[in-house]
Amino acid sequence: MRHLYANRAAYLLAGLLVVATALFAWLRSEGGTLIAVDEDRVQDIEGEAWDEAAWGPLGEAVYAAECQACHATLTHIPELFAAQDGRSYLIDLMLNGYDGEMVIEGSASSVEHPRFADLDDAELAAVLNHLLVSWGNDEALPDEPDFYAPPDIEEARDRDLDPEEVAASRPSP
Amino acid sequence: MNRTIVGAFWLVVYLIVILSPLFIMMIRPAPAERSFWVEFSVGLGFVGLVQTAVQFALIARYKTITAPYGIDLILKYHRQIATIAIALLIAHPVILVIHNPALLSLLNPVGGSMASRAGNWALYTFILLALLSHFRQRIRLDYEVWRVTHAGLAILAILLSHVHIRLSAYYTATPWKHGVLIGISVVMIASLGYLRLIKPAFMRRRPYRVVNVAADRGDTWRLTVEARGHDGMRFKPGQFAWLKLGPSPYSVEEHPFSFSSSAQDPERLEFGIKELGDFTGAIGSLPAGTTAYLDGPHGAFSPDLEPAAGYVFYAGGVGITPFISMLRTLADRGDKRPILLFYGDKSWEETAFTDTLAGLVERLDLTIVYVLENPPEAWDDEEGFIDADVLERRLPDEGIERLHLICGPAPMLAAVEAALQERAVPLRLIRFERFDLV
Ligand SMILES: Cc1cc2nc3c(=O)[nH]c(=O)nc-3n(C[C@H](O)[C@H](O)[C@H](O)COP(=O)(O)OP(=O)(O)OC[C@H]3O[C@@H](n4cnc5c(N)ncnc54)[C@H](O)[C@@H]3O)c2cc1C
Repeated sequence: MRHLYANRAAYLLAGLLVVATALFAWLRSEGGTLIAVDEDRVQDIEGEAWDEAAWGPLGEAVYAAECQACHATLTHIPELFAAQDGRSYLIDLMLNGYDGEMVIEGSASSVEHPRFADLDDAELAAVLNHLLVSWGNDEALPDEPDFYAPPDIEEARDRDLDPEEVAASRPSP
Repeated sequence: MNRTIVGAFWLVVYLIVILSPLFIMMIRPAPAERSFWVEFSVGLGFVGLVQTAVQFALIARYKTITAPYGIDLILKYHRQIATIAIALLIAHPVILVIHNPALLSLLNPVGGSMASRAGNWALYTFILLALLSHFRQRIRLDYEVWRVTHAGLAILAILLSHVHIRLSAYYTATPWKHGVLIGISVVMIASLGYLRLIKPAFMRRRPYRVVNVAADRGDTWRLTVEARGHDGMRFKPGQFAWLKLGPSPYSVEEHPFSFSSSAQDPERLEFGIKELGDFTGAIGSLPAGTTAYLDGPHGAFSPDLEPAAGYVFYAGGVGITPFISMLRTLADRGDKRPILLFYGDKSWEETAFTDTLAGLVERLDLTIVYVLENPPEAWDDEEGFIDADVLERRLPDEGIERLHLICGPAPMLAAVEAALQERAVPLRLIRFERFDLV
C-alpha cells in the first residue's frame, strides 16, 4: 500500500509542479508581481508638480525594481530628452517597448526593450524624472525643464504604438 | 517524534524548495511580462532545474528524511520525479519553439547564442543521464561505473544549466535571485559530499569484522559480522544496511542487504547473501577478519513499525532474509502472536535457512508453508507458485486482522498482491520490500 500511495504522490506532485508553473505563467503574463509599489505614495504625488523631495523616492524605487537590472546608469537621457520629440519618445518607449536598430557607442545593433505599461502613470512619470536628475544628468538638462507629470503618461497611453514604431520614432542625435 | 509529523514536515520543506523559484521570480524587481507560453516555458525550466538539484538530497540517505517514508520509496520516487523533471526541462525549449517557430535555431547545439548552446548541452546531458539509467542493465553497464557516471553527468548538467541561466540573465538579472537559485543547487549537490565523505568518516569510527562465512543452500552465504569497539547497530527486524567490505569506508562499492539476525543482538549481525554477480559472488571466499562498514539501518519494512494481531509473511527465494530476522527477533522476545509463512523457491535443495526455520517453529506460534516449483518426490506441502489457489487452501479463516508482508522477486510481489486482492485482503494490510531498488 505504501508503494501505491508513493506512485500516486509522484503523479500528484508532478501535476502540482505543472499547475503551479501554469499559474505563475498566467500571473506573470498579466504583469503580476508579489510585492507591489506602495499605493499611498503613488496617490500622494498624483496631483503634485515635480519636486525632487516628493517624487524622488518613488522614482528611485521604480528604477531599482524595473530598470536597474539592465541599466546601471543612463547618462544619454538628457540628450534624448532635449531632441525634437525626445520627451514624448521616452514615454512611448516605456509604454510600448522598443524593437529595432539602435546606435550604441557608434555601432548599430538590434535592440529589444520591454514595455512597462502595467506601471501607474505616477510611477512612470516618477521614474522618467528620476532618469532626468540622476548621475549628474541634471547638469545637462535645459533650463526650466518640462518634467514629466502623470497626465502626460495618461495621454500617451492612447497612442498605442508597436515597438517597431517606437524604434522608428527615435530622435537622431 | 511521530513519524507522520516528521514526514509531513519534510514534505512541506520539499514543496517550498521546489516551488521557490516561481515565488522568487514573482517578487519585484521582476522583468517585464511576456506572453503566457514564454513565461510557462521559463517557469518549467526553473522548476525542472531545482527539481533535478533536489535529487541529490533525496539520494543522500539522510535518515531523518527517509525514515518516515522508507528509503525504498524515496529511491523509487527519485527515479520517477527525476524523469518527470527532465521531461519538464525538455518541454522548456520545445514550448518556446512551438510558440515561435523562428526560434528553431535555438535547438542547434553548435549554433545560436552561447546561452542557448549551454542550455542545449545541459538538456542533452540530462537526456543521456536518463537513458543510461533506464538502459543500464540492457547495455550491461557495470553498477559502480554507472553510479559514478550518473553523479558526474548530473553535476555537469546542472552546471551547464546555470551557465545557460547566467547568460540568459532575464529573471536572474537581480543578483539576490540568481544567488538563491545557485544556492539551492550548491546545497543540494553538497549532499553528495555528505553521503560520500562525511558519512564514511563516521562509519570509519564504527567498523565491523567478518567473523564467519557459512554456506547455505541455493548459492546463499551467511555472513556474520561483529562490532569492533562500539555497540553495533540498533535496527528493527526487516530493515537493511549498505555493506562495504575492505579497509576503506570511502570505497564506492557498497550493496544493500537485509539483516537476517535477531534485532535483540545489535553487536553481532548476520546477512544472508545470494550469489548473483561480482560482489555477492566473492562473499564465499572472504577471509575471516575482513573489515566491514555498514550504512544503516534503513527501510520501513518491519512488524515493529506496524503492530498487528498476527502476520502472514510471503518470501520468494533470498527474500526470506528479512523474515528470518523478524522471526528470530520475535522468538527472542517470546512473542505469542500467530505467524504464517509462505516460502516459495525452486527446489528443496535450493531453499536456504530451512534449518533455522525448523528451530523457530519450536519457539513461536509459526506455521510454514513451503511452495516449491520442483518439489522432491513424496512432497506433502504446496507445489508451483504462491498464488490464489495456495492462499485459498492455506490462509486461515479467522476473526483477526493480520498484516501481510511480502518480499521477493518483482513477478512474485505482483502475483501475491493480485492473489491477496482476489481474497479481498484490503490494501492497507499489505506491505512490500523490493530487492531491485535501482
Ligand atoms: C533493500 C534491499 C535489501 C536486500 N537484501 C538482500 C538480502 O538480504 N540478500 C541478498 O542476497 N540480496 C539482497 N538484496 C539484493 C542485493 O543488494 C543485490 O543482489 C546485490 O547488490 C547484487 O550485487 P552483485 O555485484 O553481486 O551483482 P551484480 O551482477 O553487480 O548486480 C545484479 C543486480 O543487482 C543490483 N545491484 C547491484 N549492485 C547494487 C547495489 N550496490 N545496490 C543496489 N542494487 C545493486 C542491480 O540491479 C544489478 O543489476 C537487497 C537489495 C535491497 C535493495
